[in-house]
Amino acid sequence: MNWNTLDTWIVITAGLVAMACVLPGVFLLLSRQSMVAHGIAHAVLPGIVLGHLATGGVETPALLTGAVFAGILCAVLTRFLQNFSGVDSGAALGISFTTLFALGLILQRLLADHVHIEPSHVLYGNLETAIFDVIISGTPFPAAAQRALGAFLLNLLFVFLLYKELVITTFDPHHGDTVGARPRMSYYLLMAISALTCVIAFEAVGSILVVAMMIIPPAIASLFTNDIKKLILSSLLIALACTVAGHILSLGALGNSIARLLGFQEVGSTNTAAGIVLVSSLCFVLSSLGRKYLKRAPAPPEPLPTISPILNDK
Amino acid sequence: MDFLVNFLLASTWLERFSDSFLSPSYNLRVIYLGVSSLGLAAGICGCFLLFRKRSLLSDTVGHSTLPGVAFAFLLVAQFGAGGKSFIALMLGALVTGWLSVRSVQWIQQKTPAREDAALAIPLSAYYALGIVFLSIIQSLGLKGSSGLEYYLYGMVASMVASEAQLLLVVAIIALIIVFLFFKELNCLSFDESFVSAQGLPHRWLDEVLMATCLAVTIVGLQAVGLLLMMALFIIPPATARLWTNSMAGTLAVAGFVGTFGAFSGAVASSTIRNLPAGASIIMAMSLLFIGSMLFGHRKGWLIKKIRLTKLERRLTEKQFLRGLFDSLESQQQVRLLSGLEFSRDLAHVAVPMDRFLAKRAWSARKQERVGAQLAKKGLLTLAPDLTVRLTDTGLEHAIKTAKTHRLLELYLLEHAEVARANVHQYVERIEEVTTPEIVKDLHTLFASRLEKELIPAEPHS
Repeated sequence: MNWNTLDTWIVITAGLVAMACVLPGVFLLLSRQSMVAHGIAHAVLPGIVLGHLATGGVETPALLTGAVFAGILCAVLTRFLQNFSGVDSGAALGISFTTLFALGLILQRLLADHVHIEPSHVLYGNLETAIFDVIISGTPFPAAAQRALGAFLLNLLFVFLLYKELVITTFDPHHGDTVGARPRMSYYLLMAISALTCVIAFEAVGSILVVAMMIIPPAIASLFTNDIKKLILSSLLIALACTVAGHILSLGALGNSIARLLGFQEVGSTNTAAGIVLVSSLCFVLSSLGRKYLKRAPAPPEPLPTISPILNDK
Repeated sequence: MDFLVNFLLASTWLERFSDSFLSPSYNLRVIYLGVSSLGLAAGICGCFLLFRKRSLLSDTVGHSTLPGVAFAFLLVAQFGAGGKSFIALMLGALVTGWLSVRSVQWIQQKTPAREDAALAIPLSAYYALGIVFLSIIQSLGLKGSSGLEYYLYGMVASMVASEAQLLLVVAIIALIIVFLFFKELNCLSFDESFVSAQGLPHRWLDEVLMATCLAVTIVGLQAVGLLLMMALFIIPPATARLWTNSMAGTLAVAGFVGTFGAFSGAVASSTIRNLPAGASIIMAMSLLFIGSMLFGHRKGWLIKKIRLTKLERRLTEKQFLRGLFDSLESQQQVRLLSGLEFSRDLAHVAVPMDRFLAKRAWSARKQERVGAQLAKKGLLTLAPDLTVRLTDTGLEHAIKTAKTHRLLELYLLEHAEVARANVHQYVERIEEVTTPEIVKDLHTLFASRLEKELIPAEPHS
């Protein structure tokens, strides 16, 4: 294993992406919409193609705007189908995101065939090439890392500003309605942020592993805590730890051991994003198994307030 | 000039359409056969997933086949005769697909994670493992690995006869299984504990169902790709739910939508240049779904609208007649107070509409419309000065309606202890769902009172 600047940048970029993903991921997990992240990751395609067609280039802002709108459209469509036809949310999501993805493919082939969107690039992502400008042009701070940092800061700001609304919307949208927290508004903002994060994460981790980046760290943390602030903080830490461990493993240990097991020669490094996801999945399995032993005794329930909180306010 | 160009374009389209639809080439026929049988099998199997709210399981299973395929490829490259061995790759897919189903169940049962996370975590974990295997294959530079990355995309256009035949065989087997175990699967879909209570092998049935779905998924995956496979599993059953409530009906409609959607999508993709077949099939099925949302027989937009209009019409007609009857009754107040019965002969007088509809807050147009509806049915005559006069049948109708309404009010007052001020509103709500049997029972219940008076007095006034 030989660590160099490239590896440092890979870990920094992947860590930022992972932490950016976790922030919307916590709320998606808590509101039981993990698969929505997966759906949005596919449904952004028509938005990206249209964004490209509108500006004729591959500048990021147009693509991001298109992606955000397509992501919101997917969420709106899913809700509409669920309410209208009475199918469960999973099926509604399946219909809306496969349709949007198909629409995106058709748009791309009929209108923008000259843009070659390499399927393997979108599907798998590649951190190693994403930060290659460090070597090629010698930039001090690779563009991919800058984007990841931007996404992380934006998501952090989003959660910080809308914390109360998000919590209320996640646990009790009807209560949110009565206290004027505008649950629908924060729901769609959450969808927009998720779509944005998905697109930023594409180049690093690929469209399919995004959902793991979003869901698994909060899922691990939620095994141990019910407090939402602790949940967010520990998810961030878990994401970071899994990133470092995942990259170290991908440098050779993982690939070589599998190759040696099958009797091939050594292969060296493997895909970092996949390594990160494997490590975090393993953490999830181990902590589910070990939860029994690690869990502290439940805290005694807080005494109920004797006076109604409404009266207290007056 | 434009016209000419358009005409020429249209004629080449027509030609291409007739080429692809009426006299397809051998390759096209192979594709049609393959996608249609896959559409049929997936549509029918998807119904059982949809009934059990497991539609997205096909997504997880589909992604989870990647490590199986890649690992099988590595194994074949090391120990086998070399190259892509079709059967080995499929076996690999089957193993990891099955493992992922087990993992979903394990997470649901053993961890506090909910269903969505239970689907999302194995999906990405197995997929990540697949990518690791793919990177290993790539750095080893093994022969024949070039197409492996596109495994999840599938290439409908390059389907060969053996693949189509395989799809057909799997479709037939799936149909036979569903046909044989129809009753059991039906129970399993709606009431799992009932299946166990009946002494049927619950676990085993579940296993058969999952194995069938898995087999269809895996055979379909390499032919048409992951996303199309998912759409084939999810969209046809959801479409069928808009048309019918029965199990057999749902299966039939889903099978039809799957077959027809896949076929027409394939025809469209061979007619229009550059239209990718997989996406075109998804769009065809989505269009069928949208069409069903508008015109579906059970839950379509149109049928809902029609039902609502009909219901509203029935309700307003009843309210109109009841108001008219109340008004006639109050005209005979003196008679009634002196102990005489309501007289049918004296009831054929003209009453101005706005008098008895004053309480209803209906617009003048609505009053007139409902009056005209009833006049058309021959229940009353509508004079130009907006007065109405009941005919004989109309009077009987009005009496019946008012009688039922008051009997219901009496019942709620005396037997259900509903407050006097609320009975009227309550009855307006339940009136429409009162069956003739209930009305008959009410007559028996209040028989003694009905002997004394033809129509009981308004109980809440």
